[in-house]
Amino acid sequence: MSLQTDQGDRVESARQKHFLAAHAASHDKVYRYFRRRTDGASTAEDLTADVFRIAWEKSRQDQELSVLVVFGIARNVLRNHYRSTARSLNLTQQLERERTAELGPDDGQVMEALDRLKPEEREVLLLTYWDGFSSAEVSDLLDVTATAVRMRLHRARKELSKLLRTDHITEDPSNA
Amino acid sequence: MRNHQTSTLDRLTAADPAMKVTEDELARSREKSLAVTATDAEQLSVGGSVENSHRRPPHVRRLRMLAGAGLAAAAAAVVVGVVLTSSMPAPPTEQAAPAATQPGTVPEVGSSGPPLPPVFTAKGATGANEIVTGSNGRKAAVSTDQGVNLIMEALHMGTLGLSSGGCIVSNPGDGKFYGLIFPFGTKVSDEGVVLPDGVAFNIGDEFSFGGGGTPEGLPPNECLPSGDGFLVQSWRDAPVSMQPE
Repeated sequence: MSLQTDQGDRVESARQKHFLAAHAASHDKVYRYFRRRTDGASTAEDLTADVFRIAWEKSRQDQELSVLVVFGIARNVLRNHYRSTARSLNLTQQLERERTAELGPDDGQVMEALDRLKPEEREVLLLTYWDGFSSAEVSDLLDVTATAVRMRLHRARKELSKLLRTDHITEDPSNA
Repeated sequence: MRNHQTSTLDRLTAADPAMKVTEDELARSREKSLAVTATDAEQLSVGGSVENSHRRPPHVRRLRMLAGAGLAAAAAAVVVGVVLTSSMPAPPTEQAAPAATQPGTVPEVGSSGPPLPPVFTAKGATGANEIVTGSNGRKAAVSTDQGVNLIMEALHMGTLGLSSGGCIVSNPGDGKFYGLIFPFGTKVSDEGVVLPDGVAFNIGDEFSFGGGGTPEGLPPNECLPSGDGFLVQSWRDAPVSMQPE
């Protein structure tokens, strides 16, 4: 078998290194991403394992494994998870909102306000403030223009502030 | 501008559910997600959330249901066999049971016992394909492997595009085009392709296909100029959040 040759070993070793680097760079973020959006640690654990199983397969094909690529996989895995749990888009969105609300630690008002945001605006807001992505990264991740990201973020912050009746967020995230 | 109220941003950050994540949780998940590197076997589809959420050609689903039923029947047959053999004399040696893998035989447990389940053979895709041309001249490479039940689970995302030669291919957004081999039974429509279960993907649609790379040494053709491409084996509708605004 070719993997038993020196060249094969080198290829496999490079693949492992590539994968481990991607894992080290993105695992915790991915796990937290799922914990924010699903119903518990075991689900987040399973979905994270799914993501890296797919990433491992991708590494076999010499595909890039940046944090954003891994997150792209994570978004699809999450969507698949929602899809397997709920049959319709409405139910999926409802489920997502409920999961988010269930996980809300103390500030129920924030969760309620998030629930009332438009899904696409809420996603940009959460990817920015919870998951820590810059606007450029969110743009890549959602495959929308940077202008669209900025607009959604602006609208989401404005709407959230209005719903919470607090002062408007004027500062941009430091990584934006 | 801030007042006595906590700012919206502070409240949003404080409400982050991941604040509760512990180092133990992370360690457990790291360990679990790294376990994949320990086994490099092809994934035989018998479960998993990614697989569950991808649509499969109906025959694959049927096969898996039959396989599940077969396993249950086998388990029941084993239990029955243990009970029966404990109170029965040993069978004559010349009446050896047929081998489980012998084709065309259905071994039985006793004369009235339930038949053992049929033996299923895993069949993977070979990459063999043919060019299917639609009424508008558009072409697609379509697998000629029928009855594939060994499914690969790599993920390939991109936009369905059209090559200069009129082939329906993948444009993953890096400016290049990649060949796709669609599953057996795929038809070329006026707008794109219609997969075996009737799901349609049109040119310009975002897709997320499960499957795997074509095997090495696959002969090139007009839709796979280098012989390299992606074998589409599972799919789902275009992601909503990736639809153009």
